[in-house]
Formats: sequence, structure tokens, C-alpha cells
Amino acid sequence: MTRIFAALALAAFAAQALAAQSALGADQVMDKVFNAPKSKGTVEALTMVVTKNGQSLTRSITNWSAGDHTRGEVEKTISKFTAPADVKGSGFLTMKKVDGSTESLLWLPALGRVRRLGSGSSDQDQSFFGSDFTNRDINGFNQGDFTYRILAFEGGLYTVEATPLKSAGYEKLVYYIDSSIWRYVKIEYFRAGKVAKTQTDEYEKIGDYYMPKRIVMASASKSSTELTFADYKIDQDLGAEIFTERFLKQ
Amino acid sequence: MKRAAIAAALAAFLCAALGAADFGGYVETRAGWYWGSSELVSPMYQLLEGGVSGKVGDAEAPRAQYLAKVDLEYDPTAGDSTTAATLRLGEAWIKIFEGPLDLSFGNQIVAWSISDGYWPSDVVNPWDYSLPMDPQRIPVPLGRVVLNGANYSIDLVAQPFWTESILPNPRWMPPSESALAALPHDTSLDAKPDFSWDSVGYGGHLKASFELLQGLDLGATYYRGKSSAPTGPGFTYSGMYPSGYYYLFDRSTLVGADLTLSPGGGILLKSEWGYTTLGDTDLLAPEDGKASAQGVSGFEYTIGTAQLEGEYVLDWTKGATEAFAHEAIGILTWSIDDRTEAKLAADYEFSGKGGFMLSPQGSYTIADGLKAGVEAYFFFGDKATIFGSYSGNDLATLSLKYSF
Repeated sequence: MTRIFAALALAAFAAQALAAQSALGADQVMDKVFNAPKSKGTVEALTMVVTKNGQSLTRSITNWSAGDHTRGEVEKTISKFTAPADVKGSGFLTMKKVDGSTESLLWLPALGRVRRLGSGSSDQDQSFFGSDFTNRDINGFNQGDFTYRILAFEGGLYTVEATPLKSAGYEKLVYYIDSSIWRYVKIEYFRAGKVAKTQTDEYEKIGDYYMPKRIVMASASKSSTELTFADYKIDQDLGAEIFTERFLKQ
Repeated sequence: MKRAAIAAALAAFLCAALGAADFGGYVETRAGWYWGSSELVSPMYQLLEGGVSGKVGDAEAPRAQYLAKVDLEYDPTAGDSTTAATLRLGEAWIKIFEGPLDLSFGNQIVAWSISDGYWPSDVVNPWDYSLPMDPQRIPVPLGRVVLNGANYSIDLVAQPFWTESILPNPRWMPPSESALAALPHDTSLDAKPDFSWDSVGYGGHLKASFELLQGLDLGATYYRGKSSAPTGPGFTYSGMYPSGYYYLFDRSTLVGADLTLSPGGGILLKSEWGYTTLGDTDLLAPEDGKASAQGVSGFEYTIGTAQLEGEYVLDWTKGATEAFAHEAIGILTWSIDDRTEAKLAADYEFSGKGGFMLSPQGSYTIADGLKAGVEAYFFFGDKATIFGSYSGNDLATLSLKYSF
């Protein structure tokens, strides 16, 4: 009898240990997602197709980005429109500081002016150039702004519920995380108890990094936005001269 | 016409010689009517703007950049076939990047002003005031050097040829001027600009940025040149020159300062001031009528997809009967969705019993590069005010623009 108890206890311990290996805690899973290796400086070409009522508008943008909040750095991005023709040449520079404040400049070649923009928390919930993404969706969320709970783990896929500790534009998010690459492949955004938007992500491995290849955001209102990434240049030494008004205007 | 054609040919040659270049432009058709009148605001004109632009060297760190634009305007309602089509040279410049310097030459636009409804510091380019409530900058030949520092820039310009602004047509002139304004006056934009040391303009703008709150920019402007707008009332003349109506264009000196602050919370604060003296009057103790100051202070507030902008404008002229004039400008812009934008602009003039302008505007993107627009302007108020005097000029325009 004692031997049976001992065997059962051993089996239970082994199962727990196995579970600990294959199913991490929610915070550990999100640590891996948020702290996944990132390119030091990245240049990419982005095509955005917004489809509503069966009709589409396309925007092409080249992005230069550097900096990482997780390393205490200012995150800087320069985006220049390359198409369509009526917005070609315009662009913006954003500098997200670690304290969450953002400095933004907009270049309007038709006016020959660089305009400073007033940034506020409400900007984060604005649509990103009329798409189904908000600026917050594009910029990404802060790990510490949510509490996490694992809903399921099956076939290497974690399902993690993220509940905001402060206003985040959504009631909750549900991440689907591929544990083989520690990237989310789907996010469901909830409002009023329902899925308001669903984002699906595909990646390609470039050097040491899994970089987004295609992201689709589908809204419950039947509109959708597709982002396609190409021409990646990773680990670029993007010097201080890149994130300037001068480069923005060139 | 001839100069524009030569410039276009030179630009084409330059681009061919430099290799990679982008070709782009737009075709726009616009029609406008005065409210309750058969008179057209702008003829049913078609405008074709074509241009080439490109970079020399590495696209991300070019050694030089160039742009050349030519406008072809066609007015099918013009009775005279020789005046139905007009070819104009637009912006056409080359910019060389040499260390921290940007050196540019050619037909350029210099925009130093930071505000949206009133531009005290934008004195380098003449303006097209055909529709005075929507003036457009006219590109002119300039030499320009910009020194780019880490958090500052110094922008210096030299303007060898003086070019007159395009004045409003008689319908938009004050009653005292409108009958005479149609008469020929001393210069015109089509005349070849003559070089004269008295007409050379020069000046600069210093801008410094600071990491205060969400960004602070401070600017200072100095410019001396011949004013592109009349600096005094016109007069009739008959003598050795052809008889006609003549305007005066004095030398002018502008000293200005500007400030932009982003404190956060979706708010942007702006203030810009300019002090102008005419002729050789003393800068600090000017003669009456020879000094003026213009200032604009305002805010922008962004919430969601809407932006509200408010500006207060002060205009002072030394020794004038009414030395101070005040205006308040409000602009509400709403991006309804990815295709539709609506805008409501209002401008209130505090003179006399007050006058104001109201302008609803809208645009709709039909497809990539294809946009339709509608604009209307309504004027109200005391006839002694500018807007009140425009009260018979309510108008609406429709436009369709295809960019390629």
C-alpha cells in the first residue's frame, strides 16, 4: 500500500514537472513574447490594403525603425508614403519615449512644411490612416499594462487572455501564441463581451528574427485591412541622422 | 510660356542625364459658381500638372535631389483661343546635400510660418490672391542654404528677382480700389523680371527644438526685400510711362519670432509674430504708416478622428485711423472614414459691427489617387468690414483630381 502511494506520488510529481516544461505560466509565456529578440534597426516596405464594402484603397509606406522600450530606449520610427500619388512623399516621424509620451512630426511636401503634432492618449485609439488598425494596435501594447491567464495549451499553441489594468481601448484581448517561435499568430480584440476585431499574423525568419510577413485585421463590421511586409533590412545601424526632419523631407 | 517650355526641356534633359527619376503629377478639373449669379468663380478649367523628381546617389542618403513641375491650364470658356491655354513653370529646383548643408537653387517655395490661417513669416514668396480667402504661394527663383544641426536649423535665402503678387480681381477689391484695379499697373507676372540691387531680397529663419514636455520649437525670422504686395494705395499716372493705375511696392524689413509647444493631452500651442517696416524708416521709431505688426496665437486639439483648431489674429499699423484689427479663426476637421473628410472653417472679423466667413468643405476619395471635393464660402456682416463687403460673393466650387 505504501509502495502504491509512493508510486502515485512520484507519477504525480513527474506529471507536474512535465507540465512545467510544456506549459509555462501566463506571465512566463508573455515574457517570451514581449522579450523575443528584436532587430536593432529595421527598414521595411509596407503595403496596406483597406477593404470596405468590397472596395479597396492601397497605401505603400517605407518604414525605418529603431529603439526598444524593453531596453530603456526611445522607440523611433520614420514612415514615408510611396503610393498612392496624392500622398506620395509625405511622411511622419514619431519618437515614443519610455515614459509613454510621444513626439510626432508630419512632413507635408505640398505645403513645404514640417508640422509638429499634438499627441495625447486619445491618439492611440485613432484609426491608423483609415484602416481597421488603431495606432495602439500598430505600436503594440505594454506588457505591464495587462494581467494574463492561460485559457488553453494544445498542440504547442497557448491561448492567453489579457485583461487591461488601465484603459487600453479594449475590454480584453485573447492571444494565440505559437510556442515554437514565441510569436502570436492570432489576437482577438473584445469589446462589450464580443469579438470586435480579429488579427492574424504570418511570419518569415530573417536572420535570427521572426519578422511579420502578412497581418490581416478583420472587423466585425465586415471591413478588413491587410498589411504585407517586404524588402526587410535588419540589424541596420540607423544613425541619429535618420530620425531627423532633414531625412523626413528627403 | 517660352521660359516654362525651356525649363521643362532642361528638367527633362537633367533627369535623363541623372538616370533614375519618378514621373508624377495630377489632372484636375474644377468649376465654381457665385451663389445666385450666373458668373463663374473659376472657369471650368482643366489643370494638368506634370513633374519629375528624383535623387542622385543612394536613395536613403542622396547626394542631391531635384524636382521640376510644369502646369498647363486650359480654360474652354475663354473666348480667345490664344489665351485659353497657359503653360507655367511651377517648382523647379535642385538641392545638393553637402555635409550638414542643403544647397538649393531654382524656383522654390519657402514656408517659415507655423500657423494655418495667417502667415506673418511667409514673406519670401509672392502670393496668388485671386481668391483672397484661399491664397496660394507662387514659386520664385531663389538661392537657399540650410545648415542642419542636431536640434536646430538655419535657413538662409537670397531672392535675386522681385515678383509681384497676383492681386484679387475687382470683385474682391475694396470699393475704392475695384474700379481702378482693372487698369494696367506697373508690373505683371508675365514680364521678364529685371535684375536690380534694390529688388534683391535676403534673409533667414532659425529654428531650434527642445525636449520640453512633448516637444518645443522656437523660431526667429529676418527678411529684407521689396514687398510683393502693394504697400500703399494705388494712384493714376500719365506722363512718360503709359497712363494707367500704379501701385507702390516699397522695400520692407520683417523681424519675426514663433513658438510651437506640444504639452500632451492632444493639445498643440502655437504663436507667431512679425514686425514689418517699410522703406528706410527707423526700425524702432518708424514714421506713421511705415510700420506694422501681425501676430497669430492659437491651439490645436485632437480627439479621436477630429481636430479643432483656433487662432486669434492681431494686425497693427502705426498711425492708422484704426490702428488695431482683430480676427478669430476656427477650423474643425473630421476624418469620417478612410475615404471621407469634412471640414468647417470660420473666420470672424472684430472691426466695426463685425463680419464673418463660413466655409464648409468636404472631400471623398473615389479610388486610389482619385479624389472629389466640394467647397463653399459664405460671407456675412457689416459692409464696412472685409467679409461684409464680400457679402455678394458667396460661392461654391466642385473639383475632381486624379494624381498619377
